[in-house]
Amino acid sequence: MMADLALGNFAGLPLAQQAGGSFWFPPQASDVAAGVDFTYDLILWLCIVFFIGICGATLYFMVKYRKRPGHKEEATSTHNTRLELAWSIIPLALLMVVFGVSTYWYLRIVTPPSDNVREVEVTAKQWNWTFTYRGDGLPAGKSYMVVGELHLVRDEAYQMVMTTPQNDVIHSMFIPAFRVKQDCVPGRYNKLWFRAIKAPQDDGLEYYDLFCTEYCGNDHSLMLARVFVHDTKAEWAAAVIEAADIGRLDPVDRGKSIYDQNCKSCHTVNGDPSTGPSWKGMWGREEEMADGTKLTIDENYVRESVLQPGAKIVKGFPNAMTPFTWGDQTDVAIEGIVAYMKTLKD
Amino acid sequence: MAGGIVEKPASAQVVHPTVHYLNATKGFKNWLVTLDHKRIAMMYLCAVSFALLLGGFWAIVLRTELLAPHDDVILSNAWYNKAFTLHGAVMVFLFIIPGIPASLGNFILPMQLGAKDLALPRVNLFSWYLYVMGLILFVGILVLGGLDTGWTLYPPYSVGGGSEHKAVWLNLIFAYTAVFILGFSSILTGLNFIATMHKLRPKDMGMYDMPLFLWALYATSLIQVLATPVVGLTLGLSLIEHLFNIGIFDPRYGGDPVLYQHFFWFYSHPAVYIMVLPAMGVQSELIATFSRKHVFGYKAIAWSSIAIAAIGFIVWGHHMFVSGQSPAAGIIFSLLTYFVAIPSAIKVFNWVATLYKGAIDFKAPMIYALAFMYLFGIGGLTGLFLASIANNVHLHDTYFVIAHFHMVMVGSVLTGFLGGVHYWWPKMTGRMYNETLGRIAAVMVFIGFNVTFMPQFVAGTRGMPRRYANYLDEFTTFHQVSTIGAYILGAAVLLQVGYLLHSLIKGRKAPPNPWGAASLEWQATSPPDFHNFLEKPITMGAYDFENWEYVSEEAGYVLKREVIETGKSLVKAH
Repeated sequence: MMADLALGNFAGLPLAQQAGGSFWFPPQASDVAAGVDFTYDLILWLCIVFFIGICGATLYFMVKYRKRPGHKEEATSTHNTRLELAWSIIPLALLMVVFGVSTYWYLRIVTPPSDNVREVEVTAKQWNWTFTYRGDGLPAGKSYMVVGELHLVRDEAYQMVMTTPQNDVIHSMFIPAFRVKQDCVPGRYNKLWFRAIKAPQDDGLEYYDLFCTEYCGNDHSLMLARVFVHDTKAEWAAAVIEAADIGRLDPVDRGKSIYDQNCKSCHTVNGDPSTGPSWKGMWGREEEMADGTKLTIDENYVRESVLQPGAKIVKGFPNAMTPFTWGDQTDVAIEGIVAYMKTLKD
Repeated sequence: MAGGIVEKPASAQVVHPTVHYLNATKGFKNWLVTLDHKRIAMMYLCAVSFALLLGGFWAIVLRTELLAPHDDVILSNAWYNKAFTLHGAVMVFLFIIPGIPASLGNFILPMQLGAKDLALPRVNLFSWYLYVMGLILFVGILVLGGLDTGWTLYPPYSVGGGSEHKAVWLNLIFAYTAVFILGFSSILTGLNFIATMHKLRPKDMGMYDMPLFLWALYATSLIQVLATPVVGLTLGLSLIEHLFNIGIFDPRYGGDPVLYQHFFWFYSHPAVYIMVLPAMGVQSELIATFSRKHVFGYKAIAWSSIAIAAIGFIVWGHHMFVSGQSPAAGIIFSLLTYFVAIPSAIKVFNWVATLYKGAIDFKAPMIYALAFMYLFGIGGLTGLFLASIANNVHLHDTYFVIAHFHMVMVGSVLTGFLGGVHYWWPKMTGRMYNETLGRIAAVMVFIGFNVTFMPQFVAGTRGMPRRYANYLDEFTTFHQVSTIGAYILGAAVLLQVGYLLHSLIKGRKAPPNPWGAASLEWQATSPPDFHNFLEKPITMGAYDFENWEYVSEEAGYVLKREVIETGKSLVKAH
């Protein structure tokens, strides 16, 4: 890690441009971003004027009235009602202007268009984002679940219908390029809408970042997703179908990805027991079950444990897991998990 | 009677007392059962300084972890989460909230009133013991393996929601109990201060004759007494929920986690002003004394403290703009938040105006006061971006917020605390610290703050979320610069600990009034007598510097002969 401290990294501002955008902000990729940034600039200039005034006066007084031989303080009036009213009322009036501008843009952020809004269901859980797409050019009657990738069509309005499983914790969806954010709270649905007017490729980027911004535990800082913006609905549908097809991945990668999204919070791969047994070295080993029987960890055991986790539990661990299925991709998913577990044999 | 009765020369005060509150009675036990506000204040000063170092240690640890984006530099994700939780909780509950009122306030408040002690000395001692119990519980949490909930203790994560950390209940109950007990300590101190200012103020001293530090403590005490019970009740409800599975905050039982956030911030937002108001009070004293000017706009500063306290109660929803709270509520909270900016701005303008035509002496406390002006300026003005609801949506829970509240909580509160400690150090200990080192440390603190937190503003606007153990490569430079700033800050604090402790043994003996300040505590000896004043101090305006004249470095400032002879201030009431 010390290599990261090399002086080259301090070369300065060009780094701030890596993700596109201006000095202060990432690209303005939604239809509210420019307005929000305008409000920011308005406040920034007001602040600069006041700050220069305060610091300038302080510095001037510090020099002019510094204690030195031959200089003595002079009594001045101890208050001045007019002056004090002026420096209370003028800032208040300016702030009310800022409030008006800000509220206008806020209402734009929170008010979705009345029609032509596409819905995406979002499930936030420790520590990944699942986006469910259906309709709108996708094969009828099917829904497509994609983990970690939000696909949008340029200039179309989207509404995220977001929730979190009842036994999970609060998360928050934040897309800096869109200037939007909304918490995902267990036990309720929160909504967030936006319209992408730019695509990441316009800024020389592959995707825009999506962060979790409500602290949610161990891997909070890894709970990221990627936002893709497509030019046409056809491209979008093709991308969604491809992203939802976990069978396209090499089995080991597929298993690793399923592990990262679903299993990691209870099973480690470094040998430390957690809520469940560690997967390290587990494959092919003989384990004692809670009822005293012994069996070898093989394909059948893994399959049963994924679909009916309570059936046979390794001794010393609680019956704490919920069953997993992946619809018509359940078999390829389990194939992936098995392939991944085999790589952890020793 | 333990106080030393020293014969008083006609026209000058006793310069160096041989018997004073520190040595009036001896032995560890005498300190632990003392009812003397000065001794309790010194015990508080030791305890809050320990908390500052403990919280600061975690700050250094977590900044070190953030030197590189992905690798676990020194901490795993789990330990990073514990580090920022302990940093926040220790700093907020054990240092920033009690820091200035309980240590400096406890010592100075009765003396500025010319009183012998606080109105309720036993309650004062009790509140110190409560504080120490809270401190021990927090150290206990560390021993138990830490807590990773964030200082805000949001459910459902804090109460075991989600898939990990099922066995944190013991640590969590420790944290709840600690916050609850510390809350009581805070309430009792507040009550005691209010009672003292009303009942022990001399007859010839009106409320408007009090030093502004006392007005600030008065406003702080009001908030402590009115807001603190809410956080206690909230934690109590959370405990009841867990014991009886009644749905209040936890969605697993049908509760609403956003309700917790409302309750929590109903206390914790006013608590922000519990933190900053005393620092503003110190600031008013320092600016006036070291520019040798009557503070400008006394009544405006006094009432702005009360206004901040009052408005501070109705802005809590600005912490929750993206929580799912209704947009209408959000807009109203945004409007109210702007109103709190005005009294803060009034104070700053008044301080600047106080410097006008003064004779500004750049002693270490004054360097802190000037740094305060700049750092609070940035901290306060960046609050406007966050009050703006459209911008808040983007900035919420990013490093912009971190930088903003550290500019206020650290930039202003810690600066106020350090300025106050240096200012009253001669009075409290009877010794002068090394002025050169004091100035160097003050400048280092100023530079350290800026290097640490300025990059964080830009990281925040660019989208860097807070509480991240790992971050994207593009934020690397911001984090590395910030960490270097934190090291400068850490070095400055260690330097201070060094020369302040050194001064206790080797420091020059302090005169009663080394700075020429006019509030009553400077009429006592340094350190003060066990009974505070050898004879009744002459009541005068808190900023009547004309009553004092400079004699020498050894003797400091003394009261002018005509003041002693007439027993009256040379300055007519304003």
